[in-house]
Amino acid sequence: MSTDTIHDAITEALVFRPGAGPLAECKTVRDLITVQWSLKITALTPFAHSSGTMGNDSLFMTERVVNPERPGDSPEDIPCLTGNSLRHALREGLTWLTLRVLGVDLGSVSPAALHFLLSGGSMGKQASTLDLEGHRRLTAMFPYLPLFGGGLGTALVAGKLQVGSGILICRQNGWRVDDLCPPMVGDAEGSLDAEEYRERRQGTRHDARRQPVASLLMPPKDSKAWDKERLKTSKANESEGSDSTQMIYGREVLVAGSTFLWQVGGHFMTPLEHSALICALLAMQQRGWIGAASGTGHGRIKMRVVGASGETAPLADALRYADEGEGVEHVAKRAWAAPYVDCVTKHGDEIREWLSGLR
Amino acid sequence: MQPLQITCKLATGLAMHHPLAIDGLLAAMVAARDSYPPIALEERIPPPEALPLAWHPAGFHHASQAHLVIQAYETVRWSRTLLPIHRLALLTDRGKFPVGGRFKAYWMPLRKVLPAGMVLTWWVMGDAQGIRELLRHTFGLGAKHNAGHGWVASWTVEPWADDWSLLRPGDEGPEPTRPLPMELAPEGWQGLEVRRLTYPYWRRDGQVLAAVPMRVENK
Repeated sequence: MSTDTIHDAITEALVFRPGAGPLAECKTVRDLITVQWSLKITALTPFAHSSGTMGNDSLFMTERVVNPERPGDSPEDIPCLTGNSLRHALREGLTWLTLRVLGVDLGSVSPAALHFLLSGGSMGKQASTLDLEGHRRLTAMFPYLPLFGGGLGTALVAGKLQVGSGILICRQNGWRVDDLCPPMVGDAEGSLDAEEYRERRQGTRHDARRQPVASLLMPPKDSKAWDKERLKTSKANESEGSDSTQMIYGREVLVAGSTFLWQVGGHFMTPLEHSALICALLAMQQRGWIGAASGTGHGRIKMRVVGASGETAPLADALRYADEGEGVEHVAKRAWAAPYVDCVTKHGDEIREWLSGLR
Repeated sequence: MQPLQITCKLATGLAMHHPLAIDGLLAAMVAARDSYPPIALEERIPPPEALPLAWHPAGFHHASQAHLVIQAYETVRWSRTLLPIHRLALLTDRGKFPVGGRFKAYWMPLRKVLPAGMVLTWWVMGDAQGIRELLRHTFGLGAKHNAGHGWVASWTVEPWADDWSLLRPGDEGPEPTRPLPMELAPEGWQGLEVRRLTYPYWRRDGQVLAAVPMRVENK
């Protein structure tokens, strides 16, 4: 065996990825589970995910990237989906599924509980709403809490969920995709330049008064009301320096067909928390939209598992289940969802009482 | 226990408010593995012997803080947006809903660094297998790591010829690789700060005047 071969073998044994390795399929002591899934998110319609505006144009979110294989190159700003927004999509998905399972009465949820469930809560002025014993009891019966964490009164509790950002599969991200996801080695290197995925879309806001229907809705032109309206409008126009409310605006999007590598997982999860995470991914896939402007057709997605450091079968089955369009009410029959759904159902009264106690 | 070099290759920029100490990181993993309650609820931290690192009689582990050369910076906006009103209307029967104070939507700047080669390096005196087993569960580093910042692509733990966990050779003599009490500091060392010598490093109690590594930037 040559020195180079020995060196390569040693190097391979020394380098490892989070979640990967010979740790008995990543199951650690006391059945705690560490898993990291690699998913491919494909845009079925253009993505809108703004980071700010320039004039009337919204700009797509980017992250700065340096290429370690080309140390002399300047950093580039590459479009991305932020982990923050993807984490929120998971949180919101699991929240709605949980509220449906709990059968929470409409109108019964306090502002603080809503903020906790949809935004992660906030720091309050009053003493901590949880004592240690209460926290232990709650984490055992409501896996949502240890998975996502959140702000509880005066305490900030970290979650076990680990959410990566969506990495655009493009030429500039070749080194990252290769490093993060061995099954996708070479996929990004052979794809297009990041700029090729950007598209500017123009929108128009019409001046409602110039629409044909306006003549039917506005007062007759020979009436006093019409004169009053004209007087008001002309005064407004004088101050604004314009005689029309019509405008054009631009939105930078990523074209349909853009793909992202997204890694998500958790460390030292109990089987209940693991089940909750799969339910969250199911709910996110069932919703099927991410990013902004979904009301105008942006951000329809499809997710597929492309790699994992742990077991992939439950998640792949959950995503298939979401595609088949079966309702949430049947989800409890699936082995990967049953632990979470059964647990929340069993402890429904206590969870509802705890939620109503959040201030 | 043997001298080791630990290398982390990052996939995304790192939001680093404090120097990243590897003993603090390993202690956090021990706390997660052994299901310690959140530190906000109970002040319990892993004992020194729970970490696969050698303990120095002066009261800290043989473990350096992260060595990195900063190549570029990025400031991103971290947001919490207002809850959608149509959903609130469905779930709460209140006539008005608080949107100020602690419920306020906000944009917050988050400063990130991009290290040269996207690599961070530590030196320790420790047990390689024990360290690997803990690092396997570490997906990200720094602030907001659970939302994709400082995302880890891979770890490397390899034997190192010399023990650089406290000091390493520099151009002008030995230089500290971690906060060291003044009695262990190299003679004439200029980089001094008030720091804790062991985890949790963010706490204010127990801080002493310490010799600290110099910050390296190539921009």
